[in-house]
Amino acid sequence: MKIKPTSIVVKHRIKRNLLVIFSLLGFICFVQGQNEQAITITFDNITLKEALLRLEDKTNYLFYFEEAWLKDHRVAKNYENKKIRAILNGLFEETSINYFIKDDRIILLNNTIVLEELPKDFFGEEKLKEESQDSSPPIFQEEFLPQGSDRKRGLITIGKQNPNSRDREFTLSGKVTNMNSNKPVQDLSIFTTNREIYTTTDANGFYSLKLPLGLNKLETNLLGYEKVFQDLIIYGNGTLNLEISEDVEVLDEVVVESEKDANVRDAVVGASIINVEGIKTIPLVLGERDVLKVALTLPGIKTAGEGSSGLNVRGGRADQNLMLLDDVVIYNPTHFLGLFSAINPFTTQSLEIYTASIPAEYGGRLSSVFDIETKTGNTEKISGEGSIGPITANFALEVPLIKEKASVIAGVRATYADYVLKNLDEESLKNSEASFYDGIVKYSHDVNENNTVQSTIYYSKDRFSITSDSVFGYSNSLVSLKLNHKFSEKKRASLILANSRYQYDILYEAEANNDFDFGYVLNESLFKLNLYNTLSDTHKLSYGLSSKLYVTDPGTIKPIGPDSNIQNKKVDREKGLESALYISDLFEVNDKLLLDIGLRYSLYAGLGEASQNVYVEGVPRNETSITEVRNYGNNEVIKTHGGFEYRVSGRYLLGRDLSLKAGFNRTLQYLHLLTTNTTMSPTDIWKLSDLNIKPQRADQYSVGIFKNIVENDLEFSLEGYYKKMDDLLDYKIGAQLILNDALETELLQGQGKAYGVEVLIKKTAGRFNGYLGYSYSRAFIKLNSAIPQEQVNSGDFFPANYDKPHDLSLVGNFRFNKRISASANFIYQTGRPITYPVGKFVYANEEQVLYSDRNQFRIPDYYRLDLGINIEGNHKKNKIGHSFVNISVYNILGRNNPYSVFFVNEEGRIKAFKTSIFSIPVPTITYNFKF
Amino acid sequence: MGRIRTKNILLYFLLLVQTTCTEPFIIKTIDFDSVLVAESTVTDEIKRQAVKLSRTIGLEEFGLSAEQSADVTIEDSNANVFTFTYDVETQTYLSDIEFKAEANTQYTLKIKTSDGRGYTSNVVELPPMAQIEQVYTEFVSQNGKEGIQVFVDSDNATGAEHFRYEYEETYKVKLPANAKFDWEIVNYSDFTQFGELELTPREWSDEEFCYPTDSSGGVVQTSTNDLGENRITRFPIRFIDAGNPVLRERYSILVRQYVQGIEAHTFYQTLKDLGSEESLLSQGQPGFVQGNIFSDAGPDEKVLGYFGAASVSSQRIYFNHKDFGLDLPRYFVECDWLVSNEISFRELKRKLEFENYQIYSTDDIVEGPHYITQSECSKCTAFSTHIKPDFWED
Repeated sequence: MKIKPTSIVVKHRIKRNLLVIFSLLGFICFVQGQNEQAITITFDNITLKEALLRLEDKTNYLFYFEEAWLKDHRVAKNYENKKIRAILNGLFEETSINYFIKDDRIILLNNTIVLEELPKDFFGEEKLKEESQDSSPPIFQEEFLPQGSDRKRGLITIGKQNPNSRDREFTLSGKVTNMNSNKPVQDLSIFTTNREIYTTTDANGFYSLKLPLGLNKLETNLLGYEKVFQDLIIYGNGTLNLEISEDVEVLDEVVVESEKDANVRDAVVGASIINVEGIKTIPLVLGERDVLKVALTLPGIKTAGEGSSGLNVRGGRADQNLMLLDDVVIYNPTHFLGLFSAINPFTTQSLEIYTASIPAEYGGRLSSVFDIETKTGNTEKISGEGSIGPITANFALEVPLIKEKASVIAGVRATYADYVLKNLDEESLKNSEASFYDGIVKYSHDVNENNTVQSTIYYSKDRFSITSDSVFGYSNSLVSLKLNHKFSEKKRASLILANSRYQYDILYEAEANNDFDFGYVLNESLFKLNLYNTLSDTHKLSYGLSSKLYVTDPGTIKPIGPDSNIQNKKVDREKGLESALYISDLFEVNDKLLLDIGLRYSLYAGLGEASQNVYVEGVPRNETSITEVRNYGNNEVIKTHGGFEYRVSGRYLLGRDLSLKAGFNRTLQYLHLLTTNTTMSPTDIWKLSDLNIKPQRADQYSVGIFKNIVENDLEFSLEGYYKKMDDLLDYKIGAQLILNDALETELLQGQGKAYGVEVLIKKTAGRFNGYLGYSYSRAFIKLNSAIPQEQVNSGDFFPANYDKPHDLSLVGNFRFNKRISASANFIYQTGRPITYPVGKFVYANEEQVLYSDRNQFRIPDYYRLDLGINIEGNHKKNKIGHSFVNISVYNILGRNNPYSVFFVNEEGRIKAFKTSIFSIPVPTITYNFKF
Repeated sequence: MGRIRTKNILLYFLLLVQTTCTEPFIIKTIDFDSVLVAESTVTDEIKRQAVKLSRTIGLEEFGLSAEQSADVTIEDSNANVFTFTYDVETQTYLSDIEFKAEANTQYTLKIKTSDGRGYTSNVVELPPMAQIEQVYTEFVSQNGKEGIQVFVDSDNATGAEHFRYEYEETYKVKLPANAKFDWEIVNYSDFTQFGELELTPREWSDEEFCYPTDSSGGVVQTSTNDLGENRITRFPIRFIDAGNPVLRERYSILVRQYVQGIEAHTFYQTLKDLGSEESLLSQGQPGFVQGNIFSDAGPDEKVLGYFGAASVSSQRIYFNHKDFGLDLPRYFVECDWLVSNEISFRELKRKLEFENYQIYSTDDIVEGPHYITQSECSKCTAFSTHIKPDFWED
């Protein structure tokens, strides 16, 4: 990164020497009044240096200065019989130079003045002659010299020190540009490190900031860009233009950043950003850089176990996360039953996670939003990035289409996993196939100053066999188009059109008479209009509307081959329309209090063509309790559900680096994931709300305290939450969910509650950086009913499958030198609850198992340590390519963490099995390159 | 454009090792719950109806923990009370009188255990009646195995929907040898490791054929509503491998069809699904299977089991390997033919006393040599009975 202040930069070494001298001089100076001769001189547009030399010729004075200070200044002036001071004042009028006359010597100073008197109370009692001087106490640079500091930039000075100035505050303004593309950088935060003064750059990269006289420590922050630390002394209004580079080759950067810049400043609770560039040093299983796995190391985000694709956020279920890839929902963001994420790390810019305060524009899921944003392609030159690991090869390319205007980024990843399976020691997997790939293309075009267009196309496909005669495949296809328009500096709009399709298919071919092909399809289409209006400095409005059409084919089965006696069957198509209106206001009540008040009204309508059963109340729902079958025509409304969702949060500053935040969040969810497994698996069914199935609802209360210790790059946060959920969908034991026309007879709806405390300590910079997250959290479910068969655990609250009270994650990076860094992950979690056999009995002439209450017991605690080392290629400046090798070992302690325990009735006897995944250390080498 | 540098060559090592593993382990009881288990289906057959009572046992234990001294009654909506008495032989409670479940009558099971706790079932009613149309066999090849499949067809003109099946198979076994003598070892000296064998001839003539009977295990059930048409056709009940020795002489299967209600169907299906679940990366949700019997003390005490009323229809068929042109299957065990003078006395003693060998013939009743083989090869009572069942048709 380069800094180009318009004021003259003092070269570091010289500056220090001069400072010492001048400071010393300051003690011994006295007023020079004698021998002033009258001078007549003409400068006809010559450089300042020449002018000074000419003055030397004409007079006896000798000038002492640093040449660089005089650069770029020219003078064209006439002086007749003027005193040297008058001439010098004129000469330096437009510069930041001060001067000091000592006998025949004139010493030039940049910014600084040499006092002709000591400050008023320098020795405690000396009186100053001029009033004006005590209004601007002098600034001695040495007091501000970084003491053993490792600030990245040297001290600079802005403006000219003017002993007569009464101003205590000056305006610093400038423009920030991207060093590579020279484009203005928008939304860059610039703030004093104590975070009392704060601004962001506008669309043209301009900023302006009022700073107090004297030393200021400035810091910048924008996701994806290198942070800049700049200490400066301000004496007057001035400009500071910055060129900043994209944060691409920095290894020692922060891995997880709090939302934008100031975790302390923002109004939202429970938000995090994962900068994908930053995660490359984290050791990960089989060398796959996986943004979702990194998310799991944050407190509050859990999974039921390795190899399960669902994430559980703050006690929520796996289906309660809105996973967005460039504004479209991606229904299954994983490959191979959750072992790998389907998000290409090379094309991904960032992942923003909202676990508490969910912005009003998002809805439809109870617990969280994962907003994954794809990079914008490089508009200057072709660049690329790739990696080769033991499981996948990955390659991404950025191509400018119209210079500085339009570009494309494309990424492809594919596995050569078939041999992996052959190496698995699992008989049922050994002879199976497994392949997956995903591809993404994003097109971005800045049509003109006010209009931009973005479009993303994504496809992922998995195909693998679990048994020797069945093949399982699933795919996600996403398309999105986003148009941004700027009406004025204060009004913007964006329009999003998108479609997402998730489908899976099971082929069973055992050369028997029951071969079949089972298919499931879910399709959603989205229209969304967002408007942003900055009403004033204190009110920033955003509002909009969205509408989503869901169409699912919940199950189709077809016979394969002429011998199959499987009957064709298709469960009726389901349709639903989810619409919402929302508005939110970022209201800055005063300097300390910032409120983010959002309101969303969502309305869901189940649509025909459909037939729905009406059941007798108070008895188990089954075919005998149906009182009526209602038929609905195409697009006829079956039932509407809806309600207001409140999204309110606020921040109150308690001190310079300390704030208190609180939020209340209500969410509604109209489609539900049904799974016969305790963990999410790809064969699950998404079920739309209808006549018999109510939407899920959640209310979350959250509070947090945020504290930064700037000097040590430390950030602390302590958050707590309580969440209450209603109408969570569960199912009866042994429920038949696939190909069931009357699914509601298998389902139960119950309550949930979750609460927890989360602590996060981050060291955001330095040779050693990383974070420590801990959470104590509980998640409970209650399935109660007047009907005993529909109760679970006698209708009492019981721990959810993913209830893991203690969860500790430690992620650390240590940089040995420019090229080598090491990293470690340590994870400890309470074992997850399971339902364990507590006895045996004989029934139907066969041994059966009596299970404990649901989730009464726990599997052993989970812990794991991963280590990784990154070796960079050399750092030559003009190197075209850049490469690094990552060596990592997953589960280096070889802890055999049980993942599941299950029981099978074999020949009338119960046998117990336990499954663990990655039970021994898994070493990996990945080679990465970029150009 | 940036060039991909030549040094950027593929550089990686395949250090992949086994990662996933599923292994069996010994389950240990961590929290034992002694729960009453009641199993009873009152049927529309005139007979001594049965109620099975037991208690759950620890995971390491085997067998059945019978609940023997309970008061068991079934009450009907006509105010009849049928009392039950424990029958040691069958380990079940049998009704003191024969009766059958009548249509449009409601039945309740009541249990009072010896510790004074009371249990009551929900009221049940007889579902519609449906006859087995046909039990028949076919030679099939299934999953690479050849054998005989027993199917059932059933009509459900009365609107019956849920069918549970039990079967009882009885087969005739011709013993390869007959244990002609009862034996006793006398005067055995540990020092010399010799003794004497005293033989007593036994009556064995009617033991040439044995008639073992096995009952089906596990839940076999189906519903018409899974199928395209509203009847049960070709429902597979039992597959017998072509090499199964039950096919040697004559094999008989009695298929009993219980027409049951949806609740009973759901209960049995859940029980079955919990036991047959198999999964690598994910696990189904097990749990307590709630039946329709409850403790009078309240919902906190768990009770396992379902009291049902069912209409029953049954049919028996006979066949053997020749009906399908199969080779004679091998005998159940590999018979070991030994002669006493070819082994030490000590070995002989061990075989007889600890391995249940029998003496099937002898050259000289005192001196020997004696010919011995396993009891499975020579003695019906070792594994079944020599008494021909009443129903048996040769």
